[in-house]
Amino acid sequence: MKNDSKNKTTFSRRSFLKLSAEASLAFGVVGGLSMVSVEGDYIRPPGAVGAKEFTERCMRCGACAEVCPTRTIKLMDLSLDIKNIGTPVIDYRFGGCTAWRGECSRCIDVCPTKALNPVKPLEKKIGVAKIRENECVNCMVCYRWCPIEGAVLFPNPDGGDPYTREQDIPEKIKLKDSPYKPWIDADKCVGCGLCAHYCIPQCMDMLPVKEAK
Amino acid sequence: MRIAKLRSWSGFLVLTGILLAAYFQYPFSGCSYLKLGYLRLVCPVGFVEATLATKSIIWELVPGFAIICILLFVLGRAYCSWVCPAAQAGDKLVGFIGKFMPPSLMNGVGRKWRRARKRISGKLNLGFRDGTALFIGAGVGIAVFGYPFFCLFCPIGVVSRNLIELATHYTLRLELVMLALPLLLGLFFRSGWKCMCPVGTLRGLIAKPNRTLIPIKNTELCNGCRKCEQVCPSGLSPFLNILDPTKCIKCFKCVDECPQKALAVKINPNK
Repeated sequence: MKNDSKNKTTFSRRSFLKLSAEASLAFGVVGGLSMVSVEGDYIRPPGAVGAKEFTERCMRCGACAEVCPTRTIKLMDLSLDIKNIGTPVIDYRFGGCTAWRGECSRCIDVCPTKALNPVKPLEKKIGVAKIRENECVNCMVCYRWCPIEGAVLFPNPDGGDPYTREQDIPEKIKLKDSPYKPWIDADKCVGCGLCAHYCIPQCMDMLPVKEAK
Repeated sequence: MRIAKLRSWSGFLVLTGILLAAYFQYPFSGCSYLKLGYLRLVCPVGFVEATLATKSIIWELVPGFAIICILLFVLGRAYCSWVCPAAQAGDKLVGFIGKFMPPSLMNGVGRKWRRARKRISGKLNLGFRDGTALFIGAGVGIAVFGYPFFCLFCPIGVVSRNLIELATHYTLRLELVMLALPLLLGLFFRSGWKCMCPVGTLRGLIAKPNRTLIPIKNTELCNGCRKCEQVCPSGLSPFLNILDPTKCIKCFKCVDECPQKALAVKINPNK
C-alpha cells in the first residue's frame, strides 16, 4: 500500500484520508439536518404521493407553482421542517385548487419527477375545510364554489336530511343571523380550498389530512 | 470586452426568462429547463438526487439527461458562466451596487475578499477534488436519509424559487439568506464556490471528455504577460495550455483580457 501511494502522486494516502474525511463530513451534515428536521403535515397539490415519498421525490423546481393558474401553490419557505423546504404547498389565501371542478391538472402534467402522481390524482383528498360557525354569516359562497356535491351541508330544522344544494334551503333559515349554519362533511371534503379562499367573513380553516404512520 | 457583454446578456435573459415564465404560467425555472411533449430537460443534479433519494430511476427524465450529457460534451461547463442564475444574479447585484458606490470602495472590497480567500484556502488547500469528495459524501447521505439535500440549499434553486414567488405572489422569500452559505463556503476553496458547487461538479465530471470551445494561444502574438492566468476564475492557464475541461467554465475572460489579442476561441482545435 505504501509503495503504491508513493508512485501515485494524485492519490497519496494523506489526500485520500482528507477526501474521505470530507465525504463523511458531507454525509454527516445531510444526516444531521435530517435528524433535526421537524416533520409537519401539509396540504399538497392534487395527486401528491405520500408525505415521505413526496419529500424524496420532489426536486423543488417550482414548476407547479409557475403553471398554477389560480396561484394557490406556494413554495414552502425556510422552516423547522428542513427536509421540506421549497416543496409546494396549497395556500388558500392565494386561491383555491380547481382540479376537482375539472378545470385544471397543470401541476400534475408539469411535475418532472412524478411527485404529483398523474394516475387518478383526484382520488386522494389533500385536506379538509372547517367552518368556524360563530363567525359564519350564511353568505352561501362556500356552497357555490364547492366542487363536490354534499361536502357542504346545511342542517334541516324539520328533522330530514341536511340540505346539499343551496337552492333547496328555505330563505328564512339562511339569513345572516339565523341560528343554523352550514358545516363541512369531513369525509367528502377534498380540501381544494376554494370555499376558504372565497369565504367573505374569512371564517374557514384548511387542515391537512393526517397520514397514518 | 465583447464576450463579457454577451455573457451578461445571456444571464439577463435567463433571469427575466424565469420571471416572465412564472408570470405567464410556463414551466421554465432554474431547475426545470424545458418541457416539449414527453421530453423533459431538468437539472442533472436534481435528477441524480431524485434517483438517489427514491432509489428508483425516473425513466421519463432519462432522455433529457442524455441530451444534457451530450450538450456537456460539446459545450463543457459553459452553463456555469453563461446560464447559472445564481452566478448571474450575483454579477448583476454586484454591478448594481457598484453603480452607487465609489469604484475605489468596490475594488478595495473585492481585493480584500480575494486576499482573504487566498489566505484561508492556502491554509486548507481545498480544490476541485475536495468538492467532488463532498459531492459523493452528500450523495450517499441523500440515498440513506432520503431527501434531496442539495436542492434545498442550491443557490440556483433559491434564486429561481425567489423569482417564481416574485412573479406569482409578489413576495420575496426568507430563503434568500441561504445565499450567504455558498458565499462563505467559497472562502475555503481555491477558486471559490465553483470548486464545490455540486451542479458545477457534476457537470465538470460529465464534461471531462470535452475538447471543443477552447481558448488557443497564438504563439507569435503572445508576449508572455500571463494576464490570462490572473483573470481565470478557475485557476487555469491558457498560457501554458493547461485547460482542464472539468474546471474550465468557458467564460473566455482570458480571451477578453489578453492585451495582445493572442488568444482566440477555437471551436474544434484538433482540426
